[in-house]
Amino acid sequence: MSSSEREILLAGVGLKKHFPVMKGKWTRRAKHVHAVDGVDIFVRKGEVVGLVGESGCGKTTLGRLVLALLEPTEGALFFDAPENGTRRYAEIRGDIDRNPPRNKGDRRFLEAHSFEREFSVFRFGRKNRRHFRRNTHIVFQDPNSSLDPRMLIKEIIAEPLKAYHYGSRKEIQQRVLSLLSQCGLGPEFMDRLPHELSGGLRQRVAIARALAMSPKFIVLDEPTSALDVSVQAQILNLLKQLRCDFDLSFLFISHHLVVVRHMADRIVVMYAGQIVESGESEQVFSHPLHPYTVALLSAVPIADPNAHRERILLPGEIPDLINPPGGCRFHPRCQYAFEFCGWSAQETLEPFTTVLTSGRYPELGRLSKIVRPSIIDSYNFEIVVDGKISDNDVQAIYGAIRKETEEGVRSLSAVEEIRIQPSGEGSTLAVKLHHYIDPKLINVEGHWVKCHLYNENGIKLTSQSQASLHGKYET
Amino acid sequence: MDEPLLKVEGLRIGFVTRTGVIQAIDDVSFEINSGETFGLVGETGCGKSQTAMAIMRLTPEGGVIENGEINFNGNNLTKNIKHEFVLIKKNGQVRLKRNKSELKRLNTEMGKIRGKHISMIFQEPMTSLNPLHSIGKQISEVVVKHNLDEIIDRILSRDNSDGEQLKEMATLAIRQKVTRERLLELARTKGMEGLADQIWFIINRRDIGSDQKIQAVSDLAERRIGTVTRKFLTTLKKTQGKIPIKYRVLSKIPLVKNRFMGAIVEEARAISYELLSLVDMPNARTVLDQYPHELSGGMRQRAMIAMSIAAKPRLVIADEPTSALDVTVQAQILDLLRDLKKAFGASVLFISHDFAVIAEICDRVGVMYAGNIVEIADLKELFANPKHPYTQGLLAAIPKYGDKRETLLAIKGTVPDLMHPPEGCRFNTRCPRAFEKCTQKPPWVSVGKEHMVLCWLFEDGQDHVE
Amino acid sequence: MGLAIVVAYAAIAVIDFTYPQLIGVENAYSMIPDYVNTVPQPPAWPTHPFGTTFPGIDLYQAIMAAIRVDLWYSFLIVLVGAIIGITLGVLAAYFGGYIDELLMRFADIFLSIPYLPFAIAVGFILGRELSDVSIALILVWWPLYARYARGQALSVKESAFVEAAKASGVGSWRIMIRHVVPNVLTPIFVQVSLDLGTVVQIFAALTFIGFASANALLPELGALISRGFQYAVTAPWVVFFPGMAILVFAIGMNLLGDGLRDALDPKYRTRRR
Repeated sequence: MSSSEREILLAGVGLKKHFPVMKGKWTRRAKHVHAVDGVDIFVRKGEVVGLVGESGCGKTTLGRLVLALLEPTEGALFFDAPENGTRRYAEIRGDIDRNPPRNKGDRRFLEAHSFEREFSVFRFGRKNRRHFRRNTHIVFQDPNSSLDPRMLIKEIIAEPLKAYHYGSRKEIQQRVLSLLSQCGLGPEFMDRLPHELSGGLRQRVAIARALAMSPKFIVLDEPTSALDVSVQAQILNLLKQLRCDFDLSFLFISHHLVVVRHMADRIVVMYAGQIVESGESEQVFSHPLHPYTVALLSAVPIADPNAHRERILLPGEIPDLINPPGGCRFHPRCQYAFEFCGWSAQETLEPFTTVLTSGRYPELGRLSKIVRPSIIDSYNFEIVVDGKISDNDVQAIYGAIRKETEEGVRSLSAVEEIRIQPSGEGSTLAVKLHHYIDPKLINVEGHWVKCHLYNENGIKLTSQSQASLHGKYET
Repeated sequence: MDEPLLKVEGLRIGFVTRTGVIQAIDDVSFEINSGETFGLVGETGCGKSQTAMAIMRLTPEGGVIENGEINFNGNNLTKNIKHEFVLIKKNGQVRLKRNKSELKRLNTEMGKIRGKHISMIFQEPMTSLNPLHSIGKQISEVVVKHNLDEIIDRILSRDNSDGEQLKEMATLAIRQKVTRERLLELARTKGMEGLADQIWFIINRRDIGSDQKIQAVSDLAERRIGTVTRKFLTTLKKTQGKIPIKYRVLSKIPLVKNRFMGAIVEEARAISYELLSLVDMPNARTVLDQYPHELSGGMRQRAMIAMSIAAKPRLVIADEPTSALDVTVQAQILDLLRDLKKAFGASVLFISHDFAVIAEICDRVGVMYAGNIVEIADLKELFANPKHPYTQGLLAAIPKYGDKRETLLAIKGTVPDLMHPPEGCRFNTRCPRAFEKCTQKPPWVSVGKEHMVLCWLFEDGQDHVE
Repeated sequence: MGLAIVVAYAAIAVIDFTYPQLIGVENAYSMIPDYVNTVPQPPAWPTHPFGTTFPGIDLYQAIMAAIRVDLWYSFLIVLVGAIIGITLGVLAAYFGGYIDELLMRFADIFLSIPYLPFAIAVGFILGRELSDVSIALILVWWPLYARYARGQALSVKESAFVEAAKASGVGSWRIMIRHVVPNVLTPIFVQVSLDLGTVVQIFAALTFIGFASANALLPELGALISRGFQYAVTAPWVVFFPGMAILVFAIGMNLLGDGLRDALDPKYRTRRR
């Protein structure tokens, strides 16, 4: 079922959602949690897009944004809008990002704004919003809290119908019965209460409710994560069937990669509030490009004792979204990171001093007494050493750094230049780092990646890293 | 080595409620051998967690072990279950009366086992770590309680050691890249057995060079203790941890206490640090003083693991240890568990609902359904030849990685109400191959090498076609 | 069991209103003094089952009548307080932001007022009528409900089913009314029933201090206690019985509250069916 030619149903452009960090109940601080930070996402008609990532990557927030259940900090959302216009808009936005305008009267701004004003769901008035809501819905993860515990099943499913004045009481009842049966539930469930049903059955009710007004697009936020495996199978089958019967589009959010692979046509991988890779499901799963995707896929346990897979274990943790790493957000954990990926003086200082003090490089022994390290700015730091430094020493340092980088201390790859500065107390090493660049999503081999390892023609780096990147992963 | 480390036989657990008795565990039997990882897999409500709790004799209020025997290392943990409670049937209702003194006795007995010989790792590390104590304190607590003699050994050994000898040993160890056992031997010959762990730890540090390691090891000899402390500790060693009377009063006075217990507390902290490093905790030094809420899920789980291996238990029960974690963190933790298993040789009872995780780490697997174990087999055998219809259904329901089948095979129906379970085989209401005999309790038969099934289809050990 | 007690009380109140004679009360609105035997008499069956108090008022009758009065006022206070409080609380939760802060500050002001001095102050300003007492208590009481309701409303607001309703296109007001309020009311009902018990005591305490109605002989439990206070040592029954009446009521309400909480839990809605 190739859906790549079908038209775009929903498109989110430049979506950002920053939550202010509250101290206590009232004080708002200048800090924000950058839950979603510049995401473009689209869903075609009849397509299932899988949104994957770990906790804290922003996928749940994105799921809410895409249904306008949350107001964005920035960005536009288009639903059933003219495709040409949408593409043009995305282009303009991308252009504006790359070449910021010099004045407000910039043509591009005006063009983008007028399109946005007319078609972006976030700008819609009540009437248009209702129309949008009619065509979209959501199924939540937790079947226990997504149904009002005080309402009967039939009332729960009828709610959207009543909100849109579907018809007479009888017509509504008919519709509810039909929805129930489509979801595999008999009429005996009409008068039950949610707590009388098991998790799987409750999810069916939630699905029935979502289908009530025959929407075109449904967001499924971890719909089976709270269910047992056997029930999950039932629900997934049901979803697949409904999608076929009604030509629905889904945004399937899940951290469970195997399930997503089973369900999705296209997948989008998120990390720390941004999209790092997206493409046709099979392609991404068989040939992941982004190092994070590679590690993520390698970490998935397989239910087959004979499958041996080399696991890439990522060091570190999911980054703090209040102060995310600069440049590529994945760089602190990436084993292929190099000088442009985002290293700052703060990140490089310690590994650098360790090179001098650890004793692994006896030729640097003279320099191991550090008087005072200091950070000048994001790309420069200085280390005052007790003793005189010669040019040979500097060469030795370069050598040591190279070795360390190869062994995995990637931050040191950012060192651009080391100079000796004579000063009163011993000598000073002035270290300058490369400036980093924010990676952009580019199209490689048919799918999109946001990583400096790639340019439009494929992999940019040396063949050595290419081999190791792809060698570590087998299907 | 031939006797299994843990033997559970005919376990039967019921929960008494106002409306009736829930037969949570019907008849569970299995064995775990030394050094093996046994997986217990099943869906919600099948009773796997309760089985684990029963082994620790931590069955919650309202639950009773009605029958069965749990044998750990030759020790029968269920000796007196008949005396522990009385079921009173009154007006059609069943009431539970517990024998307080029996339970007290049980708790004392189990207290020696829990944490030391059998330890447990839970699913939600946030709830099993005390939010009010720092990580270091919590681990130290375990160490002091269970490893007091080890602590004392270390301190005293260090005190008796000689810098030169240590240097020699360290150099040798590094050059030869010795294993832990070899190092232990070496240390024993020099009479420094208590230090073996600490030396091993230093040698394996990755942030310093060899020269510095040797220096660090020889520096250990520099750490001496005062005479008073030494006397105290030697006495303590003889009394096996019970503080002798003449010190008892002194050991309670706040400042004076430090003279005696100070060395122990400090040592415990050092051991805690070593344990945290062992579980690959990033920034272990800082973490020692941090509180659980300051750590991420993965880190908390590592802390829990550190606590559970502190006393070098023979059996570790892990109840869904990775279910609350992200997949990359899960991979790290599973890896860690595998490494630790190799290093310590402990047996593991690994409970999960996720077959994939089980496939990663277990040697043998038991499948549970509604309070019964329905199948036990070696890992590969179970996946290759699942015999019980439930196992087959469960395996078929898992989306296979790399296999884009259109529909998943689902098991029809839902888990039965355990207050009124089906007659005979509890799976008979949902089993696609059920027949008349299934209303009777099915037999536990062997269908292959080390492969057992609870099913009528295999009565004579053969697969009956219907 | 709580239900039983409260029902009994309520019944008495109702009966007082309609056919007081049923339980032997001659005059529901007034205590009847007997100036002949002014000294309090100990309980004696069948003439004075609870004894009499100064000046010769039959306690049994007085208490029976007083129950109605007390009940009425307590009910009024709690109900009005609750309505005000819940409304403001829910609105605060709904609007959030500025309004929320404003309302909560407002509530905090009243919350910090100790009821006794406040009641006295009110008495000073408005008068010492029972109605004034009621007003004072209402003012002190509503912020409790406001806070409680607001808290509940806030948490319900974040529930998945509310979000689902939003996604279903249900208007905000409707969501408030159909989803938030019912789920907020349940725990509050329990609170209400508990508070009735408390308020009765406070009300009685205040009348004991000195608030009274224009009709000095209006039967009221607190008034009865204050009336008999001076005789407490020699004739303990004059304070004992009214006091007991208050106590029993408070306990009854408490038990009722528990029972109510279980009954209103949606899990039991099925059993009823």
